[in-house]
Amino acid sequence: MGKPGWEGDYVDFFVARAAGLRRTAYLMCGDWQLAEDLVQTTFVRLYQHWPRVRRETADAYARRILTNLFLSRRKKSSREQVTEDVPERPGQHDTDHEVGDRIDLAQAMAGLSDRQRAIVALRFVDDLSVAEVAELLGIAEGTVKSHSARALQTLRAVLGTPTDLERPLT
Amino acid sequence: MTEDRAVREALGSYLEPEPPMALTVDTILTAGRRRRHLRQTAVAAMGGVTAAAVAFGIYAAQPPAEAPVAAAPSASAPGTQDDPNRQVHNPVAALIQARVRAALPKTSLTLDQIYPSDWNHDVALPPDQAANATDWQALYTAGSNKHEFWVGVFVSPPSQKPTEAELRNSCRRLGGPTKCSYVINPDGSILLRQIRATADGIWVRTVNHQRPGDREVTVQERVPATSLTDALKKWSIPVPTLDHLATDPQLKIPEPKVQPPLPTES
Repeated sequence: MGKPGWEGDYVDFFVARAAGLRRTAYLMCGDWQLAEDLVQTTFVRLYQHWPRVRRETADAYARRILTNLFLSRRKKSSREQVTEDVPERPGQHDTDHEVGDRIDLAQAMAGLSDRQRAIVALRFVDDLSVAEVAELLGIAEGTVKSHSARALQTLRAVLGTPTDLERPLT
Repeated sequence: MTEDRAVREALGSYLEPEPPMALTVDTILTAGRRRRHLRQTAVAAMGGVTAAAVAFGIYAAQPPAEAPVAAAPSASAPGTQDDPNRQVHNPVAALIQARVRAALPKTSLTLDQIYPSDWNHDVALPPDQAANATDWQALYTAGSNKHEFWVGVFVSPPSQKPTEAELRNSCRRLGGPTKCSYVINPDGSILLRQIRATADGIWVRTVNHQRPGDREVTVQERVPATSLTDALKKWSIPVPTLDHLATDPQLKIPEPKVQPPLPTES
């Protein structure tokens, strides 16, 4: 097929961001293969619109596509519900304690709603602000904060974070 | 340690060990280019209204956009998973090339890609699944890099043919610097002709033949041009020739041995 002149820029973006987006997707869905599928779909969709995507907003656009794909996919696909099992095998170098922590965390993540997992991924892995997450998901900042608080409450039990260090989300 | 930091550190360890990514640039580019072509074809044929395309029963030309496909592990060396031409010698591929040659004996065309696919994939099917294809597509370059000729031969999902009123409304909805016409033949088949420009300055002339029995052929010539007048100078294949190829009764693909699940909107 013809190779548009903008493909080089698109490829640079893929090389720079695919791995990061896959990590975000993994945190949302808990499955590396599904995460890679979501990233592939994101980049195929991004390709369609790349000539009209400004480079400075490409990252936000890609993240928005990925998140929407994840949320809409979860609604439609009952066979892909979050499993209570740990989806990935821990590395051989892990100590028993580390493995136990990961299992707990995986189960805690599985207990979150789709939107809560997306918010956790965007807030704590992608380092987006509450306002940025609200904008990306098209919801109120207060809703992001309340979802974050509930998600952290679930995770807190696993992480064992001292309650005296709790503070309002900003 | 703040709670935010504790969460970040815990999630960081949750992401390890991170398996290597099988997804490659070549896989993405192949899927992206194909999807873009399919989308432009569907838009060209039916005015860019997906709902109309579905209602009119030609959405074989626009499979569910982002059905995930198996990621290919390597670059596009001939014969690898990424190489869409690895089935260039398949009898169906040979038939399509022969029919194109027969219709366009004097046109200088270079085969760029030819491959089978189905409703649910954006890329070529693996060789051992070619018999299950619901479409074959061939892309040729004609002279410059952006002057292209494309042929798609489809087995469409079962659907109702559009009524004349629906066809008329579809053409009317196009508006802008486009042209659209249709013919309903005595055998019930429909011949759609359309001209439109893409956002990136490519002018596309399309003929789409929807045949009885949920079969379909779409042929398309694409040229970079600044206006319809400019495009008319650059298009090298006359409309009657496009009509002839699109309606060629020999240009058809076998029924899929195993019909894939019907496409769904993603």
